[in-house]
Amino acid sequence: MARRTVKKEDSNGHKSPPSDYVKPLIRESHFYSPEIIEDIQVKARLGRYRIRGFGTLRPLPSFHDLTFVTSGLSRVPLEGYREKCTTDTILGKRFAKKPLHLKTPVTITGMSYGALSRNAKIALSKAATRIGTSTTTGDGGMLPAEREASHLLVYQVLPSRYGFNPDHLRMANAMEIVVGQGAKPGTGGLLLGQKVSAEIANARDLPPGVDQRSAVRHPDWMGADDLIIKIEELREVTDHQIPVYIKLGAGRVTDDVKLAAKVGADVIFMDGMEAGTGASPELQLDHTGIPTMAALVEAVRALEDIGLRDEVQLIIAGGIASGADIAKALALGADAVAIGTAALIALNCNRALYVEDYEKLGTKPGACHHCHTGMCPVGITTQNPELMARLDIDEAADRVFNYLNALTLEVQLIARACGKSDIHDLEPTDLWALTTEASFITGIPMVGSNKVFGG
Amino acid sequence: MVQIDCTGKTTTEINKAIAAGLAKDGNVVVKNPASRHNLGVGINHPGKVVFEGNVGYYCAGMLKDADVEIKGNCGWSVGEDMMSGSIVVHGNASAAAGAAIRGGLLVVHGNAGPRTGISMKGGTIIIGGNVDYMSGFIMQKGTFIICGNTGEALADSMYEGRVFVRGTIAEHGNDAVETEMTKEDKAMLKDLLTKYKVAGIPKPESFKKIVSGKKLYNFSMKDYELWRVAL
Repeated sequence: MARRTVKKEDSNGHKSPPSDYVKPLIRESHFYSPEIIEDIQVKARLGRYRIRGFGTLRPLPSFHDLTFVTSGLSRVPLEGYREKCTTDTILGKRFAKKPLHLKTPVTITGMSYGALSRNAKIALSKAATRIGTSTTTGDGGMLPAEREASHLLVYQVLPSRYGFNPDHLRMANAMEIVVGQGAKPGTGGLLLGQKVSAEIANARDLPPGVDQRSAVRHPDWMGADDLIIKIEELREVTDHQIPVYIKLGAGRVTDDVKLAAKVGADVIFMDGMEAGTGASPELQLDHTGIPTMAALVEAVRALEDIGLRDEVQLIIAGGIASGADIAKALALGADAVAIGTAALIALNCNRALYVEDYEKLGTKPGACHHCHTGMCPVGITTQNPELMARLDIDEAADRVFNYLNALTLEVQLIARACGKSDIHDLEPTDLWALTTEASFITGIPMVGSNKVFGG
Repeated sequence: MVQIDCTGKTTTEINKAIAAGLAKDGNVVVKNPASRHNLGVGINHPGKVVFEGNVGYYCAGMLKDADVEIKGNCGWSVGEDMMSGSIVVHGNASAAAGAAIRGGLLVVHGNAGPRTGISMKGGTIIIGGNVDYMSGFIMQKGTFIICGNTGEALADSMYEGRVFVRGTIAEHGNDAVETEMTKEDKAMLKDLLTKYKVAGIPKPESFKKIVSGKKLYNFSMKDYELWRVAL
């Protein structure tokens, strides 16, 4: 038996361990991970579900799992900087007399004045106008300055009807009936009291400072049969001029898309699980809905099933961040995409400015999801005048314009490389799957194998 | 007076004729409405419109400025999202009458269905008879007068506004609490009920007043039992 040798005491009087001593690792439970432990203990203090902004933080199958197979000997590419590749996008050509003509397939999604600051809303409108695309109101009505700055404005008709005004509806270029949103499908809006300023409260007919929990069901219709009549009403009030969008949170996609098309939508807006929000119960961000890529292929298939693929336009949203995402969405069958969080990031969200204010919120630039607090360090998701002043409207609009331009150029780049003179000619055969999961979800063959997994 | 016969006309033709009639004469009578949907939606011109018969869904929805009279019953969501003006229904109203109105006045002399006055954001609703469940749900502002009985969950989660009920209340909604009527309340009730001759003009003293308990304004563990149901 080996004798243990004990080293001499060190200068502090501590004895050294024996030479065969193995220091035990600090082992974290895979199930009761530090994140789970923290979650339980936060709820033990709060007594309610956790609420935060931004979007889901969990990994999900996404457009990242696909790659383009561009031209070669078998297909001829277009000259990248010389040959024309159009990005024009038309939305709402099914029934509306005045469809929207966009210069890019990228639109700005609905975000409320309330969730966002006035400066942020106006900057988004200005950028959208300069690039030639649409922006969208939100749960709180139309901000007059937003209408003024927007060439094309989509007016949301929401369950809450906060600030709803038929005059504003008539001033819109399209309307969007919101049935659900990707970040929290099946629930209504949420705006915590710290963001319900006197001005926001007045616009929404609410007492200042309340934790505003919006209705999830529309007050005046319940199911698809009623919605047919509601849409006729909305078209009557707008003289059948402007397109009707229906926005759905991705969940029961096949049935919902068929119903939305059947009730008379010109455009279906499908919002996937990666979509952002100003405030949501956290478990809804992570555990409700289906990912954007999966929602898109299901929606396209649903429209094909009922023979309306060419009549009803499809906008896909939720986690769209690059031209590659957009090109892949178009190739899978979307007519356009919408961005929200990415546009805010272009504004300055999560930028390393006023770092001390991120620290006060217990976070840091690059990892901030504290939109719900109303203490946005860069003046975007706040109603605090001092914080809002940190967002210079024109500079912010420039950044978003540049970003939208970059996205559009990126889509063109890929389309040309695939030999397409119109970005809307991108198609599923331009794609291959990098993972079996993506192949299974999309029906796109797996790289190398030329097989569709599960297909 | 401009007369419009709905027979053989499309909804759009009827609504355009109503708008033209209001602009030209200010007095429009709509004959044979035949319970059709979306009649008189989006009116935004002063004047008077009378529907001589039953109407379907959304009659006079999104109304501004005009006074509308319905000499019959109406379908879902009469006057929804009304901004101003008035609507008087001589018969019964179906579900969601006066949903999400922000202004104006809705009078239903008969009974009204569930969700009457849901999401009210202003204005006044007077029901001569009964209302059913979830009436006044998430009420934000305004005045809601019910001369008969109510169904369950009356004024559930109301933020502000005031509800007056003369008959029995099947169930108070979450955080909808009774309070004393003020002199102002009584004078207002007397004026409105007399002006519109509702339910035989009952005495103001015979009503109960319901307002928000304001316990759902902000989450509090103190009111856990209330939030457990309301969240």
